[in-house]
Amino acid sequence: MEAANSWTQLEWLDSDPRWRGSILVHLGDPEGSANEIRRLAGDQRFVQVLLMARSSAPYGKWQMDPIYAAACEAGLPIGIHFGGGGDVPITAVGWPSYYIEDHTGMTQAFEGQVISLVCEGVFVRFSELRVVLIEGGFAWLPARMWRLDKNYRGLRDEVPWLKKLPSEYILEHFRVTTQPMEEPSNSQHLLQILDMIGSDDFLMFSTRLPSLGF
Amino acid sequence: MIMPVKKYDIGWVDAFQSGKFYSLRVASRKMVLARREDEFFALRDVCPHQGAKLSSGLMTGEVVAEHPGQQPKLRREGEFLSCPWHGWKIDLRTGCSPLEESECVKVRRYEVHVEGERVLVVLSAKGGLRQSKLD
Repeated sequence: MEAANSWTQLEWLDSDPRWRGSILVHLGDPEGSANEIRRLAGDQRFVQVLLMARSSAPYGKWQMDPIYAAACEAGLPIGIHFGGGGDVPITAVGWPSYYIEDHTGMTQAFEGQVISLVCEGVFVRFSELRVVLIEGGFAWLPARMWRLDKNYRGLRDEVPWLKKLPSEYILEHFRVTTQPMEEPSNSQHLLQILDMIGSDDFLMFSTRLPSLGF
Repeated sequence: MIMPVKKYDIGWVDAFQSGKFYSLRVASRKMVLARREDEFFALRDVCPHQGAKLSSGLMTGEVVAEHPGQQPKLRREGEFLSCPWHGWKIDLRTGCSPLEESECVKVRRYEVHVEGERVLVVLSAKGGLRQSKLD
């Protein structure tokens, strides 16, 4: 990861002052990743620590704590980006056959990470941590918040470290990017989704340029 | 204004075991009675969530842990009722859910007195717990 991040500095960040970069980390080495974050913390051209949506284990697990601690020390958000994989199937029901299934089903990964980060108390341990969900859309979010809050009312004994509704942690610690976003045929429905999320500043503008992907 | 009250004798103290819920009907009101050591609590026997019978629930406390991996502790054991349908917790002392501040999810409470060896539930003229002057 040190080589990849140094290459990013030399090849991209040094070539144009407008570029910004993500710090790549290695999930198999959380302590080493934390050291890497600290190594690069002084280079303000790095604006986030990058994780991928799919992983071998949910990101709320305590083994990830060194990464979150280092990110908080550096004042950097965690960016969870569409993609990735591990040694587990890429959907909750096994391996799909087509990319359309993969792409559409990526929201399962984002949902799982959000639920894990909240329920495993990451934001209790790291109250300053910020997480950006990148290219995951957001229309799925209100229903997830409702379901999580509903279940929390009955199952809160499992997660007693949570001191408020899960949706409150989500609104406080997460942001989502706008591209790509779901596109309902009735655009009013999208506005209703934003109302349901319940925050005026939950979206972060993004374009995915120069990618021509949908 | 002081509301008139009436006391309803519901039985001997020894008839009610500590740590159990009892389903009662007092003056046509469905109640759940709980005994915790020498204390008695009476609430309306309807969960504010979706109407379950609270008397079928579980007497419990508050699970406390500061972070995952810490051994949880049970605080205020016997002071909460966990609804049998969806696990909502109701504080027997206040009728409130620890999560909801809204009055619309509060369970009506009834005052309970022990006089001699008898347990009495106090109802105002309109039912429920109101400011009252007792006999």
